Amino acid sequence: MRKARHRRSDLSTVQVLVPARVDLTLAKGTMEQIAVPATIQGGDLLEANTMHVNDAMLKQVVTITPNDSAQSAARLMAELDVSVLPVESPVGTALALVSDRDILSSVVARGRALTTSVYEFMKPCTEVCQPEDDLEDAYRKMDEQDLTRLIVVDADRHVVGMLSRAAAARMLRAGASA
Amino acid sequence: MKAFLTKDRLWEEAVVLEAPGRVLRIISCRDAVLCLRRYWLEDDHPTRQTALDRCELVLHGLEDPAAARESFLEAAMEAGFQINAWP
Repeated sequence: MRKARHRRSDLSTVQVLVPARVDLTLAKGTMEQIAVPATIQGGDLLEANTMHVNDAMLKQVVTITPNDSAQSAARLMAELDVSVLPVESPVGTALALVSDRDILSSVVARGRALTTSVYEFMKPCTEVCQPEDDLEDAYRKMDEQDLTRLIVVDADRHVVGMLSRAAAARMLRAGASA
Repeated sequence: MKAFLTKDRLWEEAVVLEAPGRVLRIISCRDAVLCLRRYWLEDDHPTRQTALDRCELVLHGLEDPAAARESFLEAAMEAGFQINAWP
């Protein structure tokens, strides 16, 4: 019997087609094993159902450097209509997140110059995730540590995306109700 | 999402522009593009468009950041900013 991988979307098709394909004279095993492909019975289905960070993350991310000013970060946020920007080192590795709230509370409210460099008030990111990480684990991590966003990095710690807690929750809810 | 904004090239030295009630500090080509587009004093000087074009070329990898900075300084002077910059 040909072993094939099946996705959730294939299920309805499989239920109709598989019994017609089964050659009982050649097949070995119980009826249940014969009628239902092995990939549908066990672990591979769970794997197909697992959602990854890659499914929910924002893939095109604009970054700033620690030497940018609060003012230039604010201009970029206004242009992109976003409230958070990841900070990358000059060699492109993820360092921190800066939000509009950081600019307000750490620069404007304290009376610091708007030319203050980002490295003076950025919040270093101690937690990051990777695109292939389990989405539920990433969501749990954000929930436990009260983080609204995680920077998504590749193996070299270069920024490849951003995952928001709201987007992760939406995707997990959609997955659970499907 | 404006794709060209995903790239940036820093200048070697920042440029600080002053006008009554305003101070702009620019240290990169991407920030220069944003300033030239949205936060400029005058819109009708040809030097502004030249600076904008050169800064955008830098973001596409087709121009030298230092040359774009020079154009930016010319445009700032033309627009009437007081310029604080170091070569």
